[in-house]
Amino acid sequence: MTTGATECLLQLYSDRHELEDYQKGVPRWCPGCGDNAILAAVQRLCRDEGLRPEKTVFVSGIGCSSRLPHYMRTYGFHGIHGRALPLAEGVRMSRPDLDVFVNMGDGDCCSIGAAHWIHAIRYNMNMTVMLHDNQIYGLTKKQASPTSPIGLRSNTTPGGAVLEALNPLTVTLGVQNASFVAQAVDWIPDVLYQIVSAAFHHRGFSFIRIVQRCPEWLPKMMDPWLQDPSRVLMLDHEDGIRLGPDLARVYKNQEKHDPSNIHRAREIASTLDPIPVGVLFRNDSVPCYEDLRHDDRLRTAELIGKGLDAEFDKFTVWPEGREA
Amino acid sequence: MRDGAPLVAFALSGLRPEGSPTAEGMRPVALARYHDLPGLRHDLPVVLVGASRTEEAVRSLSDVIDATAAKVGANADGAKLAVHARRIEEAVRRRVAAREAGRLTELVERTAQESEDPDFQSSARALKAGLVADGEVVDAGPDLATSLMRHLWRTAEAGKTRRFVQDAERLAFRLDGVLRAALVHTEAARAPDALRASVGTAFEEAFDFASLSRVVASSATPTTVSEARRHRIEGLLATIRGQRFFTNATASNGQAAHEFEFDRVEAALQAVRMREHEAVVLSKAMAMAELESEGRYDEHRHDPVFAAYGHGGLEGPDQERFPTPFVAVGAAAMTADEAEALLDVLGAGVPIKIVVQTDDLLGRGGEGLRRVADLAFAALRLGNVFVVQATASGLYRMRDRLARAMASPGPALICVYSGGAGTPKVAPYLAAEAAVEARALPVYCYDPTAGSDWRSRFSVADNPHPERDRVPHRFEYEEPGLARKSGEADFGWIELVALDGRFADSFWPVPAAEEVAAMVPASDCLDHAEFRPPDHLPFVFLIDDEDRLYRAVVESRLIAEAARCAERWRLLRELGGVENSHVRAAVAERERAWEERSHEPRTPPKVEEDPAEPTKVAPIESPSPTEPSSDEPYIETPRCTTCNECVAINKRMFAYNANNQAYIADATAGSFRELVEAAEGCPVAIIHPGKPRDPSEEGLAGLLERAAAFG
Ligand SMILES: Cc1ncc(C[n+]2csc(CCOP(=O)(O)OP(=O)(O)O)c2C)c(N)n1
Ligand code: SF4
Ligand code: SF4
Ligand SMILES: [Mg+2]
Repeated sequence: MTTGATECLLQLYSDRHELEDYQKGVPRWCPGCGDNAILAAVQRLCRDEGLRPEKTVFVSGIGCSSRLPHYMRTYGFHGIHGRALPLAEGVRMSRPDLDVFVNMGDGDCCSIGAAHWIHAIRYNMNMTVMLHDNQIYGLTKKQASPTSPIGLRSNTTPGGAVLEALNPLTVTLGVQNASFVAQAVDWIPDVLYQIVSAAFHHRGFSFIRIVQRCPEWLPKMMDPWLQDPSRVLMLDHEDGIRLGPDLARVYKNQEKHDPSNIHRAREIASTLDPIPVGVLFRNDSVPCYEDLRHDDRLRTAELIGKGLDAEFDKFTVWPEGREA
Repeated sequence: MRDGAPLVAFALSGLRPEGSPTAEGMRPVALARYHDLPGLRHDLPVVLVGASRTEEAVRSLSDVIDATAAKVGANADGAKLAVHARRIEEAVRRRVAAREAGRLTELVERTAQESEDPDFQSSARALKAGLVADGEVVDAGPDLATSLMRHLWRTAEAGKTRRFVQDAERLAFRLDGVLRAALVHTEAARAPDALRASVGTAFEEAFDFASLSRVVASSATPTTVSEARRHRIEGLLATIRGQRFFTNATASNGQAAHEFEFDRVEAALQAVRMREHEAVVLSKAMAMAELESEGRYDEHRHDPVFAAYGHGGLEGPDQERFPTPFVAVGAAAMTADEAEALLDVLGAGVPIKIVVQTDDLLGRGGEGLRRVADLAFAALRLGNVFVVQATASGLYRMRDRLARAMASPGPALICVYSGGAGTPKVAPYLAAEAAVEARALPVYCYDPTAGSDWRSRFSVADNPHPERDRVPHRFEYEEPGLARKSGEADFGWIELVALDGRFADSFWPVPAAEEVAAMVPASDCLDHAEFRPPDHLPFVFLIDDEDRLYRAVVESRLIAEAARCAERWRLLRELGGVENSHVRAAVAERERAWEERSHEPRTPPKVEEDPAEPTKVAPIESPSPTEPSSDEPYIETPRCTTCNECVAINKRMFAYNANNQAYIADATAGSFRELVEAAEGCPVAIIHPGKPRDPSEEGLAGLLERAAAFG
């Protein structure tokens, strides 16, 4: 198919963006917070993909991590605790022309937002989803989250957390229609970037669990992994991420893992130590909910008004003799 | 044996003595078996289904009834329903054969109404309710080709209309939104009445709108839409809403929509020319509206580009979104000039879909054949035209290709022979099939969108025995002594002519007792120029009503035309990759080379071992060549996590690179203490302070001790 003049004209003069075009304000995160690395990775992605700021939206819930949209010079929606995903689904459904990113904390996603998380996986709507997993409630000052390791002393578990931690990877891989599951750590920025990029390019619900350090409340927790590169298992594959020679020298513990192999992906997902890093699973053929439910009708004020009226009418108590 | 002179005279000139026998009442022996004709027609009639995709727009009646019976029968008395479904199908067939028009639901309903059997009626109604597809039912007949092709074309065009309407409405909606948003900032929108209207009825009395108007007017924000932009957007909206190419797109300016169905090539071409400019204007408006709706129209950049838009006409998707004219024309009604003009336009790539139909291949001096087959062959040579040559009887079999021809973006020429003229005793569809067998009208399809070479684009595979020059037939006949015998005969162009009653006197059937030695099969005369009267008299086998066999001498002028036909078939077949002379030569050459090589001693080919992929990648063990000497401070930048720690200590000393990862921008911009503190603070311990520059720095001994941990 040849390109028409119209298509050329639309692409003509598409502006080149620099990193600064995506940066806004000075992050208010604690020094050394892993959220900084995640911010740097997504800003780099936006620049490299030439995403138009007015066509890009970052949606979040509540938490330290959920402040990320504030630091992006794109559209953003700093939502309600636990509700980033339903908000993002709404954006995706009504504005398929936007690139949608979601940033959530572990409390946000795996605790109060867990039900939304499960169903969002099943809906498989096209969005890039980052779980900033610092294994603690950061913003509210150190309460245990579902991903806090057993024995962790926190303000809500002074005697140590009593339950085994929830594993976001195995949970995601257990849900029907999972189509992209990856894990990254905030301290290997090049790999973090590659994974975010692979997630962005996957059409569907691309879920990345990012092991994120919270130096404020859990200052030393990840040090053993930081200091010993062999405690990171790098998943290398042409359909996943590739390690450059510099990193390959440092991270020698590698496995060739084909992301289409869900059984091996589930095994890897269950591994806690070493921390697996890379694309665990990917299936490009899962349909996206927004495609299945695509509606050609224009969302005019009248149409929206009618829809809302119909919804409200379901709950309206009509005065005697004035039923709709 | 009789005197051959009158036969020679006949063969050479067509002159014959009064009362000499003709082929009147006879037919080619190859058709001996086809007494019972209707039994063959299984894929007709067809249902022209109202579908959104051309691939699903044509189905045979039997197919629709079978699928419906299977579906409905699954939750009813399947066996009885199947029996009734057969009867219903038969009844519908009879109706359409008797030229009764209607959609399938209507025909089934009428069939139900005419029955007195309540059981049958209930089956018919169940079938009607569950029909898997509905649409007009069309039988073989002079209109079949046009109806079917028009239906496919309309289906394809409806898709375009849908897409355009959707685009136009989306753009108009968004441009309206821009204007509406701009309006909010105008004085008119802040007038008391405008404010009252925007609040709605419930609070009409609750506000003092005059005061409110003063308040909002005082906080006036400047309008965001310039006068020029508003003007431009209004112009775009007017163009898009006033367009005449698609019906039911947005509002109309009252002018009638353009017509795209024609029955004259000339009229279609004229319409294409006249609307070209209008199409450019609309296409341009759509492109500008696309930019405007995104807020990306930049006068400085785009004005000059759009001023030149479409000067060379529309191309690619811009052109493809517009309706494609459809012309259905009878071959006889087309003038030679029109045919010429048509080829010009097709060659220029103007998208236009043309169906040329004839029911007469041989009449009026072979006019029909020339119009249809020659036109198709000429279009084939243009390379960019979707060409299908078909018979009405074979349309159903070729429906997928026809659908593609109508849905493809470029020009298409469909040449169809429906049969009928000159063969009153033979059903039209059989005459059409006979023309295919005779290679007078080989069926083929050339699809320029299917690939880049002849092999993927062109096919003659739908012809019977495509590998042969002529289609052989076994036949049985009665000898004068009533003995039954069998033999083999070709069916070619001359036999096709013999089928046509109008040419009966071009044949002179000779009873066995009167045969002359010079008589040779006509097919031999096609291949050898030396077979000529008077030494050779070409004949074909004919049989009469009682299946008696005759050798009938043929007028030699038919031989020339038959040779031309055979020639055309051979060329087409080669293009279709069947019996291709280049391929034959290449294969022969290969075989010869192989033969030669097979005499040389052979070395076994080396088999490369395929090492199993190791699951663990062994990393290369070698120190990084990029590591600087430990005297200079440095950062392992690729491992930096952008935590802000170091840059917060000294912005000039530590800086971020293009990827927001830290490096030492200026080692002299700060103290050794700062380097050591940054190294200690770095969460990933990638800052290496090196050696101090200033030996007099305060507390150096302690700092050196702390720095030792970072190499
Ligand atoms: C509905 C609701 N419940 C509780 C809270 C209080 N709250 C704010 S942030 C937070 C947890 C934050 O932890 P996490 O989601 O892991 O994000 P982090 O700060 O660690 O990045 C909670 C419980 C709230 N804001 N809203
Ligand atoms: S509290 Fe923890 S997660 Fe929150 S900003 Fe500080 S370091 Fe980051
Ligand atoms: S302290 Fe380390 S990780 Fe943080 S910005 Fe500086 S070099 Fe990067
Ligand atoms: Mg957290």
